[in-house]
Amino acid sequence: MGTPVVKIENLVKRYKELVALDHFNLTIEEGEVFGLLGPNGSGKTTTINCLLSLLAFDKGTVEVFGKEIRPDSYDIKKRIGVVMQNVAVYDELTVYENIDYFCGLYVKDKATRKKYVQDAIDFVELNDFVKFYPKKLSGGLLRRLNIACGIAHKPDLIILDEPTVAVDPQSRNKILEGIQELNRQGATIIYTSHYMEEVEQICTRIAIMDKGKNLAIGTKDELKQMIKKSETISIEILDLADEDLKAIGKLNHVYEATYENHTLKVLCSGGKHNLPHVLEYLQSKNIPFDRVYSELPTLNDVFLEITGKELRD
Amino acid sequence: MFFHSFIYTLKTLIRDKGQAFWCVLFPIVLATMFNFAFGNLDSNEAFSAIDVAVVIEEGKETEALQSALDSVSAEGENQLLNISYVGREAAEKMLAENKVVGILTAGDQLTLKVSAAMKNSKLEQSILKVFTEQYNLYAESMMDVMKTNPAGVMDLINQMNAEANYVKHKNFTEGNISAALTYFYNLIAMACLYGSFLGNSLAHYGAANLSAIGARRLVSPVNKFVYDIGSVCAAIVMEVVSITLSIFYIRYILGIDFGNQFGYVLLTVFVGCVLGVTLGYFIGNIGTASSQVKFGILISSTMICSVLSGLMFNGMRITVDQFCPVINKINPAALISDSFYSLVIYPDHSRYFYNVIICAIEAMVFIIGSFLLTRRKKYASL
Ligand SMILES: Nc1ncnc2c1ncn2[C@@H]1O[C@H](COP(=O)(O)OP(=O)(O)OP(=O)(O)O)[C@@H](O)[C@H]1O
Ligand SMILES: [Mg+2]
Repeated sequence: MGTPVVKIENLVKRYKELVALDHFNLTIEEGEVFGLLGPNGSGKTTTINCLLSLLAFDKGTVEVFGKEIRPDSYDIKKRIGVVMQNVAVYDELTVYENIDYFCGLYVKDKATRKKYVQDAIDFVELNDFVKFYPKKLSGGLLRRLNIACGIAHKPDLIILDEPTVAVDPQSRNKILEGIQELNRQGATIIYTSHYMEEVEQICTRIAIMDKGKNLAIGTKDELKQMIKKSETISIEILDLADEDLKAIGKLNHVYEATYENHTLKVLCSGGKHNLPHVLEYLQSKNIPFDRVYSELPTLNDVFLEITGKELRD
Repeated sequence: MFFHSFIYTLKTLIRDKGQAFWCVLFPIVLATMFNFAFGNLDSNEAFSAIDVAVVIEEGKETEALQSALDSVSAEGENQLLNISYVGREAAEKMLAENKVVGILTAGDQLTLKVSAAMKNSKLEQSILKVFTEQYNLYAESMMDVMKTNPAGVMDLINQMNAEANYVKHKNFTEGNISAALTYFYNLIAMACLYGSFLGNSLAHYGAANLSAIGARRLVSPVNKFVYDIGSVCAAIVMEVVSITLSIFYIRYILGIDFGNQFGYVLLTVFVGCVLGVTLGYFIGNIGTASSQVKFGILISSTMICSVLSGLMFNGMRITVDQFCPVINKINPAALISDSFYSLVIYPDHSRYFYNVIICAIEAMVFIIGSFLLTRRKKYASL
């Protein structure tokens, strides 16, 4: 492995008494789509701002592309593209002008810039809106403009801080696919979100953070293997005897079985073929059942088990 | 980067309707209101000799002064002063009762005292001031000349009086300057200072803690100073153009004369705008208060500056001169309006350039200050 794209060590950031980042560590390798997952106020934006050398921090080191980043590290900044949590575009400039303006902060050559701007417009599919002013764009389109402004200069490292907040599902999917496309074109991605579905969908590696700490890190499968629960089976049953419930609870890999509201809920840890085993038992006892669901654990389960609370409040 | 910043800043400023209001419309609206208010203020004012009390301190050599005073108070078409020679107490009483515009005291130097309470006599007060300054300037050489060549003294006196007469001449014979005109000078000065709103908005868009755009710009590989100089220049261009428009409006639509030294008028506008924009940019870069708060600070401080320089009451400048003269020497509004004023009043440009240079120095201080404040800045809180 080469030098990591981002290396954060023991980062501490205080806002007066509040400790926003508490000895935070993070290493991101080239080519990753790295997800920073945490609830509101967990310190995602703070991490990003320290990483960009916007925010002064109390302790720790931040290296990007193998070098410590400072406000005047222009050679590093040149290679980074940022899409901030808040939309940052000029109301007085059209879609095209906004992208050209921000791209122009990175790319001096006019011809190259023209091409890059067009690429960015194609990328976020704003071709029909180039002459529009931001005020006239819907929320989703505005987010797409915001993204285009951040990535038009074809950076090697792209940082997106909750780019899909307040975006309808259709636009959101477009954005997520776009991010994966950028990754295929060679960019390393850092993606922060408190939507676990998004992070699960696109990220190759994920850090779960809460209260300024990095609680767990790994691929989504690795994270899920860290916890006990591996499968939740729900089966609608009109009537279930207590002894049957107990017997199901004793099946292999089952660590908890409950029966409420005509629904049998079986929590399994590890193992395969858990669902067939449960169904086999029911059939052998001639217990009729209706609909059957099986859910694999989510990152929310992971978060729940690590912190004792739900990811979303 | 300079041009990128310049072009795009200009674009955003031109399209920003709020800015357009403050820059272009506001001075024009105010000028129109002034015009209604003062339209007839001076039209039937004719010049009569200025009433002045002269107090001669005991034991002072006053021969030269005497000849000078004689020559300006000689009855006739060119009479400038109407002199009463009185004692100190009587003089003070006359001033208090508005019987005289000022008291000239012949001591080691000739000194002038005027009353701030007297309205509509600003011009007379200025003429007295010019006379006093000129006398003090020439007094020494007059003494010398008197000793060697008494006949030559009259030339000197004439030379000296030329200035004071020039003021009078300009004002009353040609009707060039009027009390109302100084209001318009102050109005333009204020409009220049309104450039500070543009400067403040530049600072707003350049700071990560004030705007998301600022944050985005600061993460780009751009030298902030070069960038900001580009946008400050754009704001200055915007200001200069809009104020020149206002001046054209005042000159050609309202028919108020700005004198015929258009080049110098333009230079004043330029320097005034530089000062205004950099002032706002500097304030915008200080501290962590929001740009709305800073806008409030700017709008009230430019108002105070303008009032002190005489936007509301004509005599204000002279009052300030008496109580704390240094204010007029650094107050941007006073410097700018005084530049216009001295263009019309004084035949040479020394006072004009003094004002302009002080303005330029202040602007430099603001720019360098801003640079030091924002250099390699990391924010404690965003
Ligand atoms: N400027 C500030 N002053 C004081 N406290 C702050 C400031 N900015 C953030 N915080 C606090 O620091 C903590 C981390 O905030 P941060 O914005 O990094 O969270 P986040 O993970 O990005 O949350 P979100 O999902 O809401 O964007 C929060 O508790 C927040 O209240
Ligand atoms: Mg955030």
